[in-house]
Amino acid sequence: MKTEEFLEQIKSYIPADQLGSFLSQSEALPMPNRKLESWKYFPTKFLNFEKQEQSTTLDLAKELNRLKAPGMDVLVTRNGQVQTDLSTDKVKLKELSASDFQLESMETKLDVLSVYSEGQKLELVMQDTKALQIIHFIDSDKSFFNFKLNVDEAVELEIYENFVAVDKVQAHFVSEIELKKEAKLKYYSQSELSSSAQVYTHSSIDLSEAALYKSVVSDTDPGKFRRKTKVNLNGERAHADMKAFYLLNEAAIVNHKIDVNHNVPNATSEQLYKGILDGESKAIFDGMVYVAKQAMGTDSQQLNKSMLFADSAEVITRPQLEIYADDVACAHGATLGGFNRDEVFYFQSRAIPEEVALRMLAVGYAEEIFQEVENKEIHKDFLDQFLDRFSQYKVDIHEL
Amino acid sequence: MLEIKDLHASIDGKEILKGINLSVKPGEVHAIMGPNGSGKSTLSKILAGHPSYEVDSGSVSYEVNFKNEDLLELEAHERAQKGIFLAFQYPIELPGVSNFEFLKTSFNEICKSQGVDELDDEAFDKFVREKMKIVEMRDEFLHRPVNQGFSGGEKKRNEILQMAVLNPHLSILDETDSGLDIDALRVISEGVNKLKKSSNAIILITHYQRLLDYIKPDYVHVLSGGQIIRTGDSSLAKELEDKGYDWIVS
Repeated sequence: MKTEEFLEQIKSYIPADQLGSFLSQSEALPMPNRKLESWKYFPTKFLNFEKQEQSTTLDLAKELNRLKAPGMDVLVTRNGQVQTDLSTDKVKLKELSASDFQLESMETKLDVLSVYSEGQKLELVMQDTKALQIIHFIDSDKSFFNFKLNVDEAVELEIYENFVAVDKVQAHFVSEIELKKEAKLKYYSQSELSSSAQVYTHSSIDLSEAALYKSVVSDTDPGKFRRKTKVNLNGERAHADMKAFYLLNEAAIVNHKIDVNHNVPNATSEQLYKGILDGESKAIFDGMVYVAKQAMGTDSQQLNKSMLFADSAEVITRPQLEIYADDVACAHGATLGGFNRDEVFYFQSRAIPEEVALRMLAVGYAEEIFQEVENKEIHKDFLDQFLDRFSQYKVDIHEL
Repeated sequence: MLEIKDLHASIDGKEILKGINLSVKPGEVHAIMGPNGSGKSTLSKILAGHPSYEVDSGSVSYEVNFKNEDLLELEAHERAQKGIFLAFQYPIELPGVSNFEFLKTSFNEICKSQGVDELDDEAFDKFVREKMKIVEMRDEFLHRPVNQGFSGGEKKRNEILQMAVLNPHLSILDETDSGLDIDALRVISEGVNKLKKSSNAIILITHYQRLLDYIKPDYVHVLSGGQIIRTGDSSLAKELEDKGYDWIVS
């Protein structure tokens, strides 16, 4: 899309008094395009901001009842606006302005658009709750939502973020999280996207000394999801543990764009991203681990594993390291394959038919990620959704 | 129970078995010994139905419940459902698949094939814990992924646990003694002895006499160059231990 066309289209999503600020803040930034490393493999043709008619409407009460995780407070948004009547009151919401977000780290006009848009900009203050489920319902053409969260020293929080989107919608989310010394955040996320739904998230997580960020993400629907995550390890002994699973068919696209920045010595990070692809789906793992010159003692692991069920599916995997320190232990890799014939035979030799064996192997393949979810209810959600979607897959030993 | 006649088999076009003849009756223990590359593991995999191996000629007749089956016509899982069990030389690791789920599914597939009621989680848990005592296996192994992170000895114990759970008619133990220390060898051998019955049979594939000190074979066969070149009683194994294979192979 041409810049002029984009600027013309997005005007209707920015409040009039914010338009000037948006234009000046984004002036030097490019549009998302394939010349940018981070947008090289995600088709930007979907980023169209023309108004589209939307006919499907979600029944929020019913959906909430279906999705609500027991024991967690809940914050519900619909098309970028908090639904206070459906949310619990333990989370205090503080209004923010666009300038409260890290505009200097934003890479494209699109990132800046999100925080200057009509979508809410909030700080979540979680003093009265330790476990929050954030459910985003998206059933209107274009929407935006932005939040910040500070996790205080030695505080431990759990966040479960769900995205539910109907066809022909496009939603953008910006989140900034700061973990103070010894703070812990367990972050889980699951999506349910209809096939022509698009969701774009832009998250940054800053970790102070001995802070822990643990994330487990599951995307199992045919929509298009671009998850951009930037993790800054700014304190020694900080640890980021990031796991994700994708089960894709039809024309689904999931793009994990990950930057893990080791800015100080003796911090550790781990990434394990796995998935199964069928149909004409596409997975993009674009991960960069950056180790600064002073970040001695860094330990970082990065691995992307995918299984292809169809020749028409596509995996683009780019596990990358950029290391400027001498004394580090960093590993990265990627695998691509199908089922292992010897594993299948092991099942068969124990009386288990091939079809059952393949399904058990696939569940085991996913479970390696899902077992990282410490909350049993959320783990069940992840597994149930996988089993539901996977039951529609035709399974055989696909030789690459 | 098992009648192998003039069995020829190959993998990737290379002939490995060149006319095997073997007869196994209920209650018998047969040991198959032989130098590396003689075809011992190939024979075990062919009997279990590994799809990578091609049977070129010959027949394998298997009698179960007073009915003769052409074993080579059955899929691997059907053979297991009818009581063929292969303990792997190198047990496979299955990340993400719990030992409990694997064993329960396996047990229930056999129940299903025999028209017997399947066991639910609770009943199977009770059942399998009794079986674990046979191989002195700790409870924690039940909910770990199959063989993942297990030591060599633990993997072999797990194989014999599977044998105990599935209660096969014909068990083929492919170098179950390899990589075991003396204590583990004793526990596993005692476990196998406890599972021996007059109605089932065992084929032991091994390189060493030491396993046969624990599990007494009725017959010892020497496999070389894809053929059984000699058959004797347990004294043959002792002779092989003393003299090696050269005298018999040449």
